[in-house]
Amino acid sequence: MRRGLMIAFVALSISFFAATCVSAQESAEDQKIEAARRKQAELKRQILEELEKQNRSLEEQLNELRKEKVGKSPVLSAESQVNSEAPSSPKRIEAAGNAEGGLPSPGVGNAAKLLTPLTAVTSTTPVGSQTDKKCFDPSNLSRADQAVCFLARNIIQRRIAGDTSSVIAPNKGDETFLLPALVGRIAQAGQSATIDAAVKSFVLDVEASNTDKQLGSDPKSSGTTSLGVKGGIPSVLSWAVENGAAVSSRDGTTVTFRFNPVGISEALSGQGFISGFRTHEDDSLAKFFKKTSVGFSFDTTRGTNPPTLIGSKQQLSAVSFRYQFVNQRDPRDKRYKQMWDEFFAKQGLDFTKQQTDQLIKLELATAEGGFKNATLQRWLDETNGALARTTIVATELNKLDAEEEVRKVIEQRLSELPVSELETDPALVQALSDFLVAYLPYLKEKKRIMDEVSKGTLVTFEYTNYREPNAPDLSNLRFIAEKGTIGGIDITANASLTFYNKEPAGPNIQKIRDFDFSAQLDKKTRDLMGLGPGTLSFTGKYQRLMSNAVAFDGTVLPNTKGDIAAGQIKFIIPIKDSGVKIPFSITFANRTELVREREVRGNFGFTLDLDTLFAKFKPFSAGPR
Amino acid sequence: MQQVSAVSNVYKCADPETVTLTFVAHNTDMRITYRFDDEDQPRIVQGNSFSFKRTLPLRILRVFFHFINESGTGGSYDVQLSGSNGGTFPDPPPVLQAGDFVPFRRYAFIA
Repeated sequence: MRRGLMIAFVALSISFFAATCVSAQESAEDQKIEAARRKQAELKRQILEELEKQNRSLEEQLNELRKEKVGKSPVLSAESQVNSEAPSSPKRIEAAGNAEGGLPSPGVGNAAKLLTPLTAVTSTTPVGSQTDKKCFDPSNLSRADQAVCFLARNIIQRRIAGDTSSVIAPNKGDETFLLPALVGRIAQAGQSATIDAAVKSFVLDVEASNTDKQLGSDPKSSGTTSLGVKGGIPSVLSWAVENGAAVSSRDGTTVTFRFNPVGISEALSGQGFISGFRTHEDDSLAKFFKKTSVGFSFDTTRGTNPPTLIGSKQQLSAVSFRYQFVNQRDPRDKRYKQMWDEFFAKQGLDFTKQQTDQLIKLELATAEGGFKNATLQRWLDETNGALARTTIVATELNKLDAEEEVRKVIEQRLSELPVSELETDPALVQALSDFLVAYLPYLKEKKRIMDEVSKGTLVTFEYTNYREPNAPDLSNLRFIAEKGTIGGIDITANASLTFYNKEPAGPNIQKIRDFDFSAQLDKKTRDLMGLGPGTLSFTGKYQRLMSNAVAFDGTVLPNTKGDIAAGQIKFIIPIKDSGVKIPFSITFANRTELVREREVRGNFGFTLDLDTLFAKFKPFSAGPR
Repeated sequence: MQQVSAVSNVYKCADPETVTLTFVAHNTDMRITYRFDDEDQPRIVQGNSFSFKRTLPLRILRVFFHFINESGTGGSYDVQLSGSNGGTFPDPPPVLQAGDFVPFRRYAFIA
């Protein structure tokens, strides 16, 4: 036993040393990568600015030539009117945004009355260059692009709800997104030096928009081939296929389904991801079950047609239950209340003041509001005219298509924003820029607190019942504790006890089969080939077999009682934002459970976290709230 | 209180009338800040509502909705306005979490 403990300690020490080295090396590399990224982003911006400048110059030349031609040819006069930004003869239309009586809305009622010809929206469009359903994953977009997506989402959300404001309604929250989209366009196409470099980076750089990605870890995958077990609980369903074995003596393929009873019932009842949260957040029973998960593992080598998964009772190799009784990684935990209170007393109020100051500068002090700058208000009115003419009928089922149609119209209209005209009003550009400056200290401090939260402790209890066809069934009790540490390293400790459900007959057999301890260090790596950040893990494990092992055919193997020490290096490659992860691992052990010989094994697997997909496809339901 | 325009969030109040805004937070800590255009300092909503008396002919209010929750889970706020002289108006749809943007709504109260 002492020898085993020594080996486990050495394995863990090596793991820790390796993790520390990797961390230090990564830190230096991180700085280099960050510097190169900034340089690249700046270069991209310069290239874009230069191209936009050239394009604008060409457009101006083209317009001049058209004007000259129009004077000469009456046939071309109509075309010129169609392509001009301001319609020569506005028409009245009955748009949803204008259906309501009372005061006209800023950029809503007025816009509904102004109708630019449809060809003005569909012609010379850069929209074709956009990939379909750009907003499917807003986290990969710059904030300016995200803003357009959220603007489209708001409009479609209101249309689905049957709200009368079916176009851009600044007072209904749309201004939150309209202003960053405008700043993004001006920063891209304009020549204004008024927009702060940090604001340009804030709205245009994709990397700058991803502060959220590094918060916390994603511990939702576990499998039979892992030495250490992480304590995550899926919100709906996770699915893992793992091939190989760690210290068991049998290779094979295990398919594990782990689901959250509350999440799955909400999913099956047609409730959306967020609607689901709403229904249970005040229900203590549902709250309890939300912290649980149930897992079913199937051994595909069993059954009549191996290695095909048929999900039969014969293939069912384990059933497990998990309960997460400590979760300090929820930022709403009371331990973080004071931090948030201080944050809102300082950064929250500063943010509110600064944004409101700029909004007062930008808007008319009338009940309905509207932009003071007439050019910008005219652009908004025309944009709303174009949006009012979108034909798709938005429903819960086609909302992604509807959002895409609306997004394309907004993108098109942004490309037609009269940037040079707006730049003649430096107070406008300054106010727009300052509106976004408010985000910088706010988000910086918020990220600092969220980084603290991500170091919080998770403690999970797991019970597993292992079913063997010819050997006695086993029960395993496991405690899993996780804690974030410095340098983004997550440490996970396991302690477990395994016993026979029914004591087998034979010499040196005890009710308690074994106990084990393991420790695992996880470190997130940089984005891998655009796939997303991977996770590198080092694990050390000590296991004490209290009695001779029982083979799979039920026979007791002599001289198998003793210690097992093992170390594992594991690398998990994610497939960006798909919920799919591919873990690879190499395990070194002094012996296996059944054979007293040294082992080196390779394992690989495939896990799918359906929470990711579920949140994307169906974040909200149409059901009652 | 009467709703003059749902699209522009304009409400007509008696003189004097106390207006109350009530919020319900879903999957987020209740963290809301607000400021009147005619006041210099913003405030934090204590509890789940706040009230004010409309005294000026026009009061413009801006309400900012902050989200504190586990990354990627999404949150939202429901908003409802009511006047002390009668009239209750929900302000649908809910304010949805949108990345790290801080959504805000503008309300105008006229005499």
